Amino acid sequence: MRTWILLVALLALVIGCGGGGGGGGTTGGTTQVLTGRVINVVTTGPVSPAPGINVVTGQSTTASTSDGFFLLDVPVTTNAVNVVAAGFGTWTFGFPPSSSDLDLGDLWVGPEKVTVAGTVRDSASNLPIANAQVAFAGRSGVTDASGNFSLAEVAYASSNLTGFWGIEGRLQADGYFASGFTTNGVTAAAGVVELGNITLVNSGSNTPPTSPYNVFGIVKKAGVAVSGQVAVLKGGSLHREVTAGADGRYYVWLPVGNYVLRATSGGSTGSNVNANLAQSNQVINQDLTVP
Amino acid sequence: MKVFKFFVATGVILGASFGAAQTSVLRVEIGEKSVRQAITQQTDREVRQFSHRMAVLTDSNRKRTWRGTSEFSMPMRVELTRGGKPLPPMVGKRFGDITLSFDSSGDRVFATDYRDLLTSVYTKAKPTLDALFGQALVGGDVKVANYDAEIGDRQAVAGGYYVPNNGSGQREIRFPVYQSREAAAINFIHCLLLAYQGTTPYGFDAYQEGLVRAVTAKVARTSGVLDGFVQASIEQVLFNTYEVGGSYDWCNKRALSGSAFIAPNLIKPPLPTGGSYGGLYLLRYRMAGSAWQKVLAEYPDFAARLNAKLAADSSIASDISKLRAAGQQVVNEVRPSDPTIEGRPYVEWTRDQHILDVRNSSGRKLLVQPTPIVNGLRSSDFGVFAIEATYFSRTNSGDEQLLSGTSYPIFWTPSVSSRFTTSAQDDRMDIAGAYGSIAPNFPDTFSGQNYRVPVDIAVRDQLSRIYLPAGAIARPSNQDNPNNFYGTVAGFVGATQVRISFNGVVLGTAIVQNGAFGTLIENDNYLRGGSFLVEVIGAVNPIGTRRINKGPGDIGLDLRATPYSTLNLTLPAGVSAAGFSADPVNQDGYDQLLASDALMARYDAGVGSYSLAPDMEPFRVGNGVFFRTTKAESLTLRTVPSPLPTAIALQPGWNLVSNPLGAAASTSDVRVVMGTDLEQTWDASIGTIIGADFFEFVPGAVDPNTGLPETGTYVSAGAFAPGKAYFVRCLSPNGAVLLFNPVPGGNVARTNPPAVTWRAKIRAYIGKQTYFAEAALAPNDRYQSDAPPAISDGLQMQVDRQYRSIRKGNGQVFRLTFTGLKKGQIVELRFEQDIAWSKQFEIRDARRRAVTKLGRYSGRYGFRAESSTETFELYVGGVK
Repeated sequence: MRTWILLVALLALVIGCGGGGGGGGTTGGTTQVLTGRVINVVTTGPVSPAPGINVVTGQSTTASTSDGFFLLDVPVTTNAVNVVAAGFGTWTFGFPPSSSDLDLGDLWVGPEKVTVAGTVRDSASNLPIANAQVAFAGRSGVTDASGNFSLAEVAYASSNLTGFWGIEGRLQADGYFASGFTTNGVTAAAGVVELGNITLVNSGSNTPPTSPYNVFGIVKKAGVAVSGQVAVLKGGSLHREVTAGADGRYYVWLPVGNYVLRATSGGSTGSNVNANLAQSNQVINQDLTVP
Repeated sequence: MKVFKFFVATGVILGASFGAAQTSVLRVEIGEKSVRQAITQQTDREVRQFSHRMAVLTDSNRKRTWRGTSEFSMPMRVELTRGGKPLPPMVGKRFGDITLSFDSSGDRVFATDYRDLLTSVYTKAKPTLDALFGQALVGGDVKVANYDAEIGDRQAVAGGYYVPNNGSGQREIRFPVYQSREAAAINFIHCLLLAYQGTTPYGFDAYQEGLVRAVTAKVARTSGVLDGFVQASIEQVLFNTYEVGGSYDWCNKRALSGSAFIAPNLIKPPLPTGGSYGGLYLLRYRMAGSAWQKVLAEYPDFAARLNAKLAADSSIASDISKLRAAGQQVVNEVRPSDPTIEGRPYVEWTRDQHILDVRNSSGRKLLVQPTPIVNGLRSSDFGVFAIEATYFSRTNSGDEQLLSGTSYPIFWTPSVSSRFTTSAQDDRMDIAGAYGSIAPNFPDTFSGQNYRVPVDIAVRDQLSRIYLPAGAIARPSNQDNPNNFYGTVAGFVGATQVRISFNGVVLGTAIVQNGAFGTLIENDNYLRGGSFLVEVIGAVNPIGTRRINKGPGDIGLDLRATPYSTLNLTLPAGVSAAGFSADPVNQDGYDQLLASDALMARYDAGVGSYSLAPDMEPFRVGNGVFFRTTKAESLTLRTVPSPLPTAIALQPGWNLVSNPLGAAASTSDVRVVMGTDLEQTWDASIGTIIGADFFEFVPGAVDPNTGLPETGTYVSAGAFAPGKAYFVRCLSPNGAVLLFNPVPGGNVARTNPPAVTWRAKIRAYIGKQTYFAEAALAPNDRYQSDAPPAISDGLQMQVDRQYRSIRKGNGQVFRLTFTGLKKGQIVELRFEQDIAWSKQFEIRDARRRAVTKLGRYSGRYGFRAESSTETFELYVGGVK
């Protein structure tokens, strides 16, 4: 780390001397400083020889250090850099323009490019999370309304997946704990690494989970959740009666057995619905309707 | 590509039936092939592929602990199947000698000197094999054939394998050509023992693999069997794959348990070529060898006698109760006056060896495996260890998922009074594909004295602790001849020395310094191994004893004043919650409750839902569990009590935890650790690391239909009582660790609670249930507290959707809300202003057009519910 700081300082000095009136890489002017590190996904180390780095518009060029780190003094309008790595060609990494200095983090390059895709969901409700920020291997994006994300041109090496599987991605969304993720064990199919569902844990839990249950659902009337009562019958007799709250949700923890569920709301009673629990770890999600 | 299948001992293919028993015997489906060469090539190929996967799964572990000293090989039993059914095993003379035969020409022939080596090994080993393992169950010819063992890993080869029927009506050992004579000899003995078993292997890897390994090691070390071989190389081969050496105490962990050493899903492709995956599987093989080695130390022909019982009654092969009983019979027969292992009854002893627990328990598991680094030390090194973690989860079907995560290892001072750090690279352990490792160098902080380092490795809500003896094994000055008797003591008052004796003769004594000890013992009896008495000495006399069986080489000990105790788990009928103040040794209690149709559940914040038994992990110290029983239950659990202040791990969100110690702990007895930070007080952590309140579940009234309490209520708690479960909320995205230390100590600065200028406690009485909430005024909202999880009947009382709502300044309106009410229910509210008071404190009921002023201590208000949701305003004016 000490070596890196020294190298950055030296690079900054060189750029500052040669750049003329570029503002010296400080904030508030017309230029900014971009820093980052280029990593080879095959070796998980720096690319050798050190790759060239330049902004897409070509105003600034530098070579990364032997450690893979780089520092660029660029216009504040810059929104992408090119990494020219021997054997891997040119890789373009985009980012939102910023008026202040930016650390681009680790930019991974390699012999192949794949798309990394997945869906971000709430760990409790399993509902998709929109606008979650996803970052992986130098690529970034946000989830759509269905919680889906797709990061294109991610570095990949099918001959040696250890490096790729070891990259830690980052997920962030308002109201959730930030979380890391990896592609561990997932290989590309038709150029896509599909990660499936990735969950985030709600951080502002004002509606915390209920106590244990294995039968749950929502009481609905004309498709709209309503409060009410849910009778749980066993062998024709009333076994339990639980309340569905204002959101229509009901929860009940039942022993193994065959049950009948029946909802009542506003004086109306719905029809019987079977809920057969064959095992104690079985969970039944059963919505109930009232006329 | 063919898929390997483990077979069930009863002969049923895995997947068709998941019996209680399964072993790592490889089944190869040969279909209608009848040409011997084709069958052989296919079998060889599949063995190589299987061995490759094993090599990959153990790669990281081998790199850490072997350091390139040996190649990896794994002898095994292989059964050929046709249409899913095993080819009938060859029968011959029952209990006869086996005769080896070799091809004299063709592509399966061995070089003459190698064939002579194998023949010589068998000739010399045979008397010992017969004595220790019993005569071969089926006598007659066993063919020995050369096969290509290359598996594309320069440090691994496919070990030899035994085929009961090679498709041509012959029994066959297919054996590679090892460069190392010692590896060849040991692995050939292993294959011979597989051939000795004939048609009846054990149904559990712990027995099948463990007994063969222990006997292989004992045969290899028997005088006269491997004379002329390099002894150091023999020991290296045995240490690498047959036994765990001095690390048995450290590795005797519950994560090892299970019916098969390799989970069925992990033998299917793809596995990463990089081989960064967890090494637990190799550790299981080694631990099983060491466990039975302890038995052989007192009963050398134990395996022979147990094999005879298996031959007489094959039904014991896959019945753990019968196997245990048969083992007890053997011990009774040999030493009726003292039928024990390491001084304890055989059955009890086997229950405490986790590698011999053949049950598949569900849930996440974390195993921490330390290895002392004893060479290559530099002048600044004092206590260097490799610490490897294996983190995985097991499903109810026995599959294992290799998990990833991040741990921030915590190194504690000897009495667990404060945290210390080593170097930055040891602050964090990244776990990928189940495997992570660090190699801390514990510094010389006690002027050259040894010291005990309690190490906590936490990932999400899993925490594993090991006690390491820093400075007690190898330092630069003695790395050429490091100590071989070392360990830690805990829970003893005034321990000064640890002494080890053999047959009444003291072999060595080590001084205890700061809870750690270590010395070098060069006595031949110690070096050979056997059964030893270890005594912890106080001022003068022993204050603790333990009998230890060991093989050759080192021994590391985790000596505790109270190694085992019992914990009474008393559950009322209906729904309740309880916690574990000591660590249950096994899952007996869990299984007992499952058998009695009890429901059990534990909340997992990571997935935002409850894990329901049998998917729920077994009982564990520091955990809380919900129960629903049809009658009151009282169980006595065998447990390992905590000898020192003990920690539990929290994951972000709500955690159902318990006090891990037997003594009550207030919040001032709990330290909170987050990431790489130093520990801090509970109060100082509120609002940043943990929620302001934690909650206890109190069972409610009897349900009129079931006759059992089916719900309950959450009550804000002020202390952690042993045996109770509490919901604690973790706010840190990286999780946190709570250290329970009821004994005042350490160097943690206390902070005052947040300044609350006014508070009203609110109680609602609905039927026989009581509900709690608070409204308060304070300069900041750090003391604000979310509502606890609602109980399953859906009824909840909240203030501003909180358990405790905090507002700033006077003239505030709080919103008091009830949800889940039944129409007509009568609710009685009581208000107590316990911090300061306001004459202008009133409840406003818009639905009933009522405003009621509330007194300082006994404000009351009542209503009859008109809908499931009722809302009120609480107004507080000038506070005095």
